[in-house]
Amino acid sequence: MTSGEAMRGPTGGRTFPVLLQAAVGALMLAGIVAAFAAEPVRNAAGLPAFTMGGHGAKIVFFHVPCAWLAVLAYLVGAIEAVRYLSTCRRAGRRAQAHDERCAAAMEVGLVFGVLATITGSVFSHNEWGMYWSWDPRQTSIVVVLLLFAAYLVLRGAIEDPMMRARISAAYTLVAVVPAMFMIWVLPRLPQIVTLHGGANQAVVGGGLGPGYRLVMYGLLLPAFVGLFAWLIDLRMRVATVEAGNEDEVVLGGMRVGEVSR
Amino acid sequence: MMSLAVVPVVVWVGLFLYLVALDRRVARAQSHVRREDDL
Repeated sequence: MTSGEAMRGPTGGRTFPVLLQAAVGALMLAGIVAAFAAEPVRNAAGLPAFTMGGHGAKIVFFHVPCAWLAVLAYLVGAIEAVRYLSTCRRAGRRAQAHDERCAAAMEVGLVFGVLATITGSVFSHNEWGMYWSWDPRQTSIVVVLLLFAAYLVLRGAIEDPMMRARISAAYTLVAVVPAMFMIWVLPRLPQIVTLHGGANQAVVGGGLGPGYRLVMYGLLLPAFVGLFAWLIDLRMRVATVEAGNEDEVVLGGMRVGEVSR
Repeated sequence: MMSLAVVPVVVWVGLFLYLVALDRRVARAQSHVRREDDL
């Protein structure tokens, strides 16, 4: 790799389009207002189906996209890990970009996973009486958060960039199996008793009307996906600047005699 | 219920403006690194 490549870093300075930034801002704003304006959920008898006069269900507008983005982050990380491992023999900016994108996805995924856990706990407190009950789905999100965190700890523990990239990519591919099992399989096993009541009860067959689906799928899910893409792009560009600064630090710390040698 | 929406709206607008400012700051830092690279 030339020093120019190292200073430019993996992405070569790509920016997230301003129009997309504006779209994310507007969709999220519209989604927040629509979520508050939506009618409370009522059962067949016309009585509130959730606490707070039926408004208690509305946290799913934010909880579900956060949980989905944590899963999406894991999938993006795994895809980028495969792409890194298939291109790492030709060491260059493209392989480095796959490694950086994998790391960015895992970092952003951890953030959204934590947000999903917090919003889920608030819902749990309102509807089921306690913040945490070790429900199978709550247990599975803890395991997934630990898998995310272990990735970051592993990455921070290895100094050699090539070794760090390879081991991180291998870990991502190994960890994606238990992560997907914990998210998609375990809570759906018939012998598992869960307060969540089976597969995606908030969205599939859980009683959400067309208005709620419009807010969720038409406004907030696209807004969250856009925010996710923006954060990954931003993280990649920060890595670009850091790569440039590291180069400066190395050159700055080198004595004149070392350079001439 | 709608009056409560002011809180998340203000939080989101603040977060959004912070993200836009951060984005521009990173873009400036990137162009600075690129200029030094060209020199």
